[in-house]
Amino acid sequence: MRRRSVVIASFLAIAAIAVFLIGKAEVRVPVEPPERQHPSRAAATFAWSPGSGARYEVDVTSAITTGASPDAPVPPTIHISGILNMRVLSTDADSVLAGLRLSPVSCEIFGEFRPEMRDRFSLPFSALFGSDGTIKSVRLSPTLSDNERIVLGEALRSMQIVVSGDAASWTTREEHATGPYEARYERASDGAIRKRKVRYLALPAPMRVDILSSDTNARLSPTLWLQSAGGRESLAAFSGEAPLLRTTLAFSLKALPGTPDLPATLAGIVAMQKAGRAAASSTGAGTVVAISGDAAPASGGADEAATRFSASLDRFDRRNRATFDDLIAQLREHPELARDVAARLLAPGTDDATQAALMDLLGTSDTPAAQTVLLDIAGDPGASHMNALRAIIALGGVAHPTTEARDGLRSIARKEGGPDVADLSRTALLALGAVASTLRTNDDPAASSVTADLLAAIPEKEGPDLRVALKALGNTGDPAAAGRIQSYLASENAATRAAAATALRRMPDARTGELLLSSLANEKVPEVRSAVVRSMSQRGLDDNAFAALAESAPKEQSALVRGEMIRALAKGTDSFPAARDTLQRLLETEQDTQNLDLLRRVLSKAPKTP
Amino acid sequence: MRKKYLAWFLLLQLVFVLGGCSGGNDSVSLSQVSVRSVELLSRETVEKGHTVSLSVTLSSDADRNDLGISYYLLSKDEATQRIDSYHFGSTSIPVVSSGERIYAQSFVFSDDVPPGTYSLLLHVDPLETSLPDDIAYEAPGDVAITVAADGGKPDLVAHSLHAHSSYLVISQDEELGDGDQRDHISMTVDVESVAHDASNVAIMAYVETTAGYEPVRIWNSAGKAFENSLVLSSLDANVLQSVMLDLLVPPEVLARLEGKASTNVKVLIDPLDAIDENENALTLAGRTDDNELVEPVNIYAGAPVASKGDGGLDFQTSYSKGFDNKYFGADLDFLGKAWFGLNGIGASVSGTVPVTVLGHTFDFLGITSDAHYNPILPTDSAFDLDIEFAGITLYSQSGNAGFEWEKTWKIEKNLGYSQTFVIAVVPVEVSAGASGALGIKATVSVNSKFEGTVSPFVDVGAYASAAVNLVVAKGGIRGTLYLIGCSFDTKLGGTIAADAGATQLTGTLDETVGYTLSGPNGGLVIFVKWPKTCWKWHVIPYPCGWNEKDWSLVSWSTYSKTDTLLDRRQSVTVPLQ
Repeated sequence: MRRRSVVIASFLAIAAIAVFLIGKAEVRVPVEPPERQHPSRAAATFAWSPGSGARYEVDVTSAITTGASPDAPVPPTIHISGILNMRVLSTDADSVLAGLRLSPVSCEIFGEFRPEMRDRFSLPFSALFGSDGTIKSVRLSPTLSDNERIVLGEALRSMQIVVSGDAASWTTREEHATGPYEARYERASDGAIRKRKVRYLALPAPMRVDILSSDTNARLSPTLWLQSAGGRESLAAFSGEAPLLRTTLAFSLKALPGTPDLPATLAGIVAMQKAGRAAASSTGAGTVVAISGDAAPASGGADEAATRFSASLDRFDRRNRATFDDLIAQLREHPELARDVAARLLAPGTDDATQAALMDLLGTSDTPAAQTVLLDIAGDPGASHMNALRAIIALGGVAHPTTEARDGLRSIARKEGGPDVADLSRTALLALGAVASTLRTNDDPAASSVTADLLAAIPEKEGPDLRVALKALGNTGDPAAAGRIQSYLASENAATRAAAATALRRMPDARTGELLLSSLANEKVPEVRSAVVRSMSQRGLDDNAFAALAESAPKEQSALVRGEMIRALAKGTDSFPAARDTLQRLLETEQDTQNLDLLRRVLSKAPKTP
Repeated sequence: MRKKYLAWFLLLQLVFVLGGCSGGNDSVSLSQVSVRSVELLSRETVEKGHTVSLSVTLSSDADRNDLGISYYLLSKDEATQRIDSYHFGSTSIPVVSSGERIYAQSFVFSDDVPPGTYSLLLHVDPLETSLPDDIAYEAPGDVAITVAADGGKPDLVAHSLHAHSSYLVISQDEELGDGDQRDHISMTVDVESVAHDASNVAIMAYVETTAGYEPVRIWNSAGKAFENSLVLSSLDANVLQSVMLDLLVPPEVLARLEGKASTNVKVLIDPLDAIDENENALTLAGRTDDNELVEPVNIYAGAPVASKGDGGLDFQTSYSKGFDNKYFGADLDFLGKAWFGLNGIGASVSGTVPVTVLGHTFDFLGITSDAHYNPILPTDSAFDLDIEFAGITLYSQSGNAGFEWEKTWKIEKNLGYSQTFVIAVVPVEVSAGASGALGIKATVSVNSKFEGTVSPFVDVGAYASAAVNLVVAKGGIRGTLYLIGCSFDTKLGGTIAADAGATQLTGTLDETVGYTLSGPNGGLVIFVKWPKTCWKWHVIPYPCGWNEKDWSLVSWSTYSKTDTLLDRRQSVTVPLQ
């Protein structure tokens, strides 16, 4: 056993030496520590001489931790190190186009050296710098996956230094993939620049990033960009109040002597990127190990896929998200399996809860095949009425409605017959309204034709059909439909007026806001006034709406309407701090016991002042 | 065998160092920072959870920022030549000035280290982010640290307490005369058993009266009764447990709250000290007793469940329940109303269930229904029902006088979002959402034998994930939760008729509202997934699947309750003049 260990040890030692030598040959370069050797005063502004080039030794490490996690079994780090080659390709008055290449480079993910990433990360790319140092854009090789682009692009942006003439201190608003942030700079007497991120601005809600620490020190180069930079920052990311992750980023950049190893023109860079892409596609390396999200599900023959899908259906637990996601992935890979879902759904032994869940599965999968299956179920005389309704509702919720789905819904909406047929027809109208809204979101021009169909479907006679038709139009959120709906606010029938008010809740135009305010002032029937207030609240209160509600609520005679006003004002407390005062005043005058309860509850949810 | 693995380990270290994976630079001077001495400032005997203070004297040739230091405990067995090392703690010195200076450092000792006496080892800049190589320094023998056994004792900690409403409603009972007791206030408390599991952990609650803090009763979902304490059968170590508390103030205690406008509610974990705790395992700033939390609340003489309106009668029932922790939350608001008046007889129902996951709020369910019948002016009668999901009307039912409808209507929906968020250079995939069933049971009759019953139900779960997904490795948090299940059992209706001369309306009005609520169950875990490497002939590595490890982060205790909120029937006459 000992002899065998010695043999293995010898082998590994040789391998280690070989790796060392290869590493030396590829990564190591003679280094002359720039700051020590050139202690002269640093440049005050960036130098961007056309054609000039530079080489930097760079090292970026980012560690990620989650909450109070115990020691991770692998180091949760991303580590990139190597030589950054840089060359100015062109300049104009405001900006500088630079070619960049990280070569040689080494990458480690979670403690594992990833040699296959080296080839992709070492492809040249370009970056557009502002003359003040702002990195305006980074154009990376298409060979890189989205996540690799983020890692590499952000590694470069982490070294961004923005100057403001020769000022001693200044504040900037900068941006990177996390979002815009405010940074403060100070310039020391020897020209060294210190940058600190102060805070992130306007991140997409509810994300929040707290800067726990941030400190970067840099020196500008008298010849090109930076002489050196080094920094460290710790960030904590939250979603709402939930702590998600913490990261620590440490980076360094030091100028090296020598000629940069990258093409001198943009065309040369693009050609090298293309060559890299061709090489990646020929080896398959670009897809197998790219940092790009989950690997594609295992493919196989149709029979194999059906067998696997059937087993997944057997395991399906509607409360287990993983089983739902697994089925969705398979349905998207093999759309024909939607038929299997329908068969399972309509099988005699399938309980009602599972039928409802499988219908949702088909709608969420969003494939054209699934939409066809949903249409079939909606028109299947063998399907229960509830399942036909579910199929129509699921069609109304698909993310990419097909032409066939739209036509099918139109056809169902036009059917006439007994109560069940009428029920399906009305539900199809509502689903068409939802489809129009989705199409508008997708910028699909078909949206307007669906809205036009719904407008044409408005019955002349007042009654239940008209009320549902108005709500279907309301679902579109299409301002083109607002005028027609608004006209029914003047109906003699109170239920019609209430339906029109309800339908206007998704209409964003100013005219609708004005009409709802006018209706609130003139409407006598409490149920209609309640619908008006609910719509105002769902549209979101603007200054006029808030002022009208704050003024009307204490005078409102109907407890029902006051209740709706309290709810609307409560929703507006974030935007209108005065809403809380209004609610507090209402608390002193309200006589209705339910409204008193409601007031106390909504006031509880605002900042507490017991 | 052990020596064989030692040889492997050393060789792999050699590969790592020589391979240059760390990107180190061998041409840069290595001695820019050195450790001169280290001195322990806190006591030499430590237990898990103790704060350790020490001073480190460093000599640096230049100013530096954020210099990390990791501390390790070393035990050496002279006889076997075995050396074991354990992580003791880590700190960072924000600013290191050039020259020789002393830096005070402190950290919380939170690792599992066997009891014993150890020497101290320092690693300066262990990640080599500031220096070309980390610097190891072993403290002299007189710096000895003894790790004491914590005896397997947990430290029970109450982290936060928040009420669904800041009002303690003290007169909501007795209206029904059914002997059922209804809670006066509901709260969520987050508790943790630090370092070790704990079992049979009692929770008691108190309100502050003129006689001091007096115990109140807590709803026990398992026993389906209010009891003096709620006992959690087990608490897993280091997992935040959210517990819903429904509190009932006994009548004699209620009497001593009379005249007060506000009071304090106190929640105490392990009030009888039945569990032997290591109180030092976790110390919280500003907290003298980490087993106790106090929440101020207003006192409100709540609304009676039924009231008589002018010129007629109406019964109204509202119900609101909510719970949340930092990650998940749900609110349930329901209003049922039956009325009899000059305009006839009517019933309305409204309900909403907003679900919050990772700070996103989804309008999972919105229901409004209104039915009314006017025997004098039948054309003024109508029924309208709207069921909304995420702000879209999914289903609508309408009818005029004479409309009859009976239906159980149920669908399944899901909604959520997914986005890639970048923090520093790291792409993080965040996804969250809710899914489940929503529906109604309805019995509607728009005529003189009137019924406008619409009973909503909802059964919703939530999921959340925030993870770094680099294919070659993944890690973050993820979880699914059964969030809320609630069904209402209602009856809203009555009879109505006008007399021959249309001088008055007479009839009856009924309202019954009951509910069954089951609360959250499930939680979040921290996970990490990394490639598994297998070896062929002991020398050729190849990937062979994944390693995965997870730890619980947050979980909820099960909650359930069934109650009748209102059960009334009354005759009524309304003059039409």
